[in-house]
Amino acid sequence: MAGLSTVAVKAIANAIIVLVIAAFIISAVFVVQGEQELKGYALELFQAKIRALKMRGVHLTQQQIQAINLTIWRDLGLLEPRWVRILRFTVWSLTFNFQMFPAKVHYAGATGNTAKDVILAALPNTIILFTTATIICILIGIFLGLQTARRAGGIADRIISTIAMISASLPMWWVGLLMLLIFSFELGIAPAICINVYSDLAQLSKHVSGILYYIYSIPIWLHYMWLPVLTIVLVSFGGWAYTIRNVVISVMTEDFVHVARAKGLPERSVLYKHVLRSASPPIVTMSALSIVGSLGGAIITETVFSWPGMGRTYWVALQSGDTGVLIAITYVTVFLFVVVIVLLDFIYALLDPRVRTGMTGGAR
Amino acid sequence: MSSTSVERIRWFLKELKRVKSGLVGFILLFTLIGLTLAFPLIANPQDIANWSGHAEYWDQKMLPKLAPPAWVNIFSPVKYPITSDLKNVKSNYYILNMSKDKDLMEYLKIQNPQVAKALEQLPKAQRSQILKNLRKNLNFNYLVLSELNVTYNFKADVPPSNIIVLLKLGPIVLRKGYVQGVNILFTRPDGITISFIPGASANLSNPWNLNNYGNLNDIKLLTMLALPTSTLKIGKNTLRAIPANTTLRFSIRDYVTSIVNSGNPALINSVFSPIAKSANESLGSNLYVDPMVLLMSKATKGLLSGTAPILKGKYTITFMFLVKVPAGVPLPKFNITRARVLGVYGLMGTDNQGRDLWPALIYGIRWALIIGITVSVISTLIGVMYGVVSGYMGGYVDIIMTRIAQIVYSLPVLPLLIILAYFFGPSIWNIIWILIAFGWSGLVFTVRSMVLQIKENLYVEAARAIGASSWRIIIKHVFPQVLPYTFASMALSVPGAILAEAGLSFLGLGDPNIVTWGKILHDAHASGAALKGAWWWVVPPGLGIAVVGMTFVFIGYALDRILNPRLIR
Repeated sequence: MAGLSTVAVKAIANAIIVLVIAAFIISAVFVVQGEQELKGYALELFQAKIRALKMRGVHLTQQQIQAINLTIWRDLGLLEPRWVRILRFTVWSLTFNFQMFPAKVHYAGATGNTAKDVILAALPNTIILFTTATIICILIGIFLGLQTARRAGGIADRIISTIAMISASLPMWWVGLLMLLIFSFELGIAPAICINVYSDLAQLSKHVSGILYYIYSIPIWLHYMWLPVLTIVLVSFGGWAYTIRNVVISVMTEDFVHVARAKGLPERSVLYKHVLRSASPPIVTMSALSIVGSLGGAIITETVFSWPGMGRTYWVALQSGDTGVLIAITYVTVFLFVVVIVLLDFIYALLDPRVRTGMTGGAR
Repeated sequence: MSSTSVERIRWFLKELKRVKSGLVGFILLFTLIGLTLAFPLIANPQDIANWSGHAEYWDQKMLPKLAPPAWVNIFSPVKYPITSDLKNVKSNYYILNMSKDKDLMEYLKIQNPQVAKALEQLPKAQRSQILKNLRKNLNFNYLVLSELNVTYNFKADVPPSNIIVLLKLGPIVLRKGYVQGVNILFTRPDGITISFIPGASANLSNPWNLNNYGNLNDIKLLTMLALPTSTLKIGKNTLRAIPANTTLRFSIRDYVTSIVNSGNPALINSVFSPIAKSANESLGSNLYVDPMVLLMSKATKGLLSGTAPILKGKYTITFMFLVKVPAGVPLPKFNITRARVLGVYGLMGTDNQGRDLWPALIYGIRWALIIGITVSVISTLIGVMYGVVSGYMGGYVDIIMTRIAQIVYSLPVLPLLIILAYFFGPSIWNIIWILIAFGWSGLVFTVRSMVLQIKENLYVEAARAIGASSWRIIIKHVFPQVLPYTFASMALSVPGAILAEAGLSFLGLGDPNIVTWGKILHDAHASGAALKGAWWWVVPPGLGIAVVGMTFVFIGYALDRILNPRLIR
């Protein structure tokens, strides 16, 4: 067991360090850059309070005025040294205390007005969209990857390699704009603004409820989803196919494949049973990384389609200067990213026969 | 240059010929650099200097808004009018001098024909006496009639998006009860003439009759025409006037749209009834047809729904002014300074603010290259040095350095990049530094493992044995060994940097003073270009990003094949 537990301890320690540093960077940026804004806000509060008191005819001494100002600064935490405030925000982030971050504007689908509510509404939407797209990509990628690996250097192989090269330098969000141009403007068969999914769902909830609501909501989601999903798949499938091809080619040179062929197994069975199984660890890694990577990277793609996920929420927060939500989303994205990297180390270790045998060897 | 490096270059070029994608990559790269260097020759640098926040510069250029490029006419079955100046301008200027009996008689003939007739019967001396008395009651010395017209020979299949005429006029004194006329007529090839001035006559038969005109003293009319008034000092009197050299910018689309949007049936009817009557259609208080289509369609059924066929031929726009000139005021001048038809435009069309997209696209290459190359070269060099030092030093230094690199590597770039760009201000160099700060870590691990092998080599040991310092060995022996390998990754990391900057600009976090492709796309997306079908605004900048990215991907793969033969599977 020694092998696996060392891996675990190292990975988790690494993850925690990364998270602390990320939370610290984010909080520091927030505190340092947001200070001016906060001081302005304090001045506003102070002036409003003085005005209110003067209206009531209260005469204030210089000392009293100063005391009022001091209370305001203390309440806003401005009296504490910077590092204390930075640490407090770091701790709040690390403990997911996002209720402490108020949301300035309203976000579609959010039930409350703290960063926590905003994220709880947006995160599932992003996961639905990108998981669907990634699964489709993996299926296409595995099929094309195996086919091209079988005839490496053939026409299909060259086409896939070229597509992979080209799509590596295509901005996904720009392809999204093109898709809107073609399917929404020219052909008029796709919704242009996906955020309308909420009004459609609200309409639906007036007519049906319970399990039926969920059944009927599926086609609504699909109606709004298909164009973003198609965009993601178009831009990503080439890269997937190319990487899987490379993995498969390296696996195909190994002895057990020759043995399987020598046994007279049909090529289909060799490919899908033997080669694919041992090519699966890197494919799993890629899938997980790409789903998590998309959480951050899809900010712009979601914005193009107005998909009500994390990316669009991030964009809305940027537009309205909603710092609390920005901090929360950035941290959650970093968190998910890091957690997946740690999990991957385990999955990889579990799937890799060499690590596994090391493990059982240790147990003996 | 030493003979060995010449040989090396020759060898590299020979290898390059074998790797087709690399050849394509280098050709693309030289084309891009060529276009960047040729920028002042093929585009106007002033356009870039005035790109943001200089609306007056673009106004004065009079470009169409959201116009497709001119070359669409080659492919499109429907031919669009091309943006151009109308040169066919004519002007006539007539003066009636009230101090001359003959001219005064002409004036009377129009204003009061019966009195004029009676006067004509009288002997000359008596008539002059009466005219002299009449003259005393007149509060002006001259009556000026100016007739300006511009002709447009319309041959396209679609009406132009607008026709704009610029006039210089003035001074015109405006006095209470001082009736002076303005009329703007639109004559179509089918002979139908309409007057854009509500209440004015579309009939040209008697240009001296003030009843055929709209009243220049009417403040509502002046507002509609956007004619400013100020004061003019004549002797002791200060008079309200349209000053000399006032510009009248008559944009047919904007003017007609304001009439249509007024929702006032009387107003709409007074302008469009001649066309509607010929088409046998009745005007309501709302018009849903595009104003230019309405003006330039055949007067048949379907005119008001925009389905009537387009009417080709000669269109004339006539501006008429009938102005009174009091004593002490110079005679007014009237000129058409520019007349312009707006349709398709230029090599790459225009955006919704009427800015030419061609110079912006060419200019964008420069920043894509600067950003991509700066970020990739610096971050690769940092990464390589870091990996070399970490691998060569070993021990605790290695452990700590590797851990730091791992941490940087585990941070997702884009969200942090966005938040840092948001807080540190949108300057292009800030963005470049942040991209470098996050970009160096990827290479470290590979370089480190290479160095672990290299440092066991005999020549490194020999160097150490003769007492060379660690830095000397790193710089002289290890670094040059690793460097060729990094050329490929350098090239391959260019697209990432360009995509990141484009993404930031697209989100509106780019440098506001610099025109990049991401910024063009930001403007396009912000104004809903994709949903308006403005493909010429959306497609080229993205293609630019893709082409620059691809250039470096091709070069990167080629370098990888040529310089790292061991790495080919």
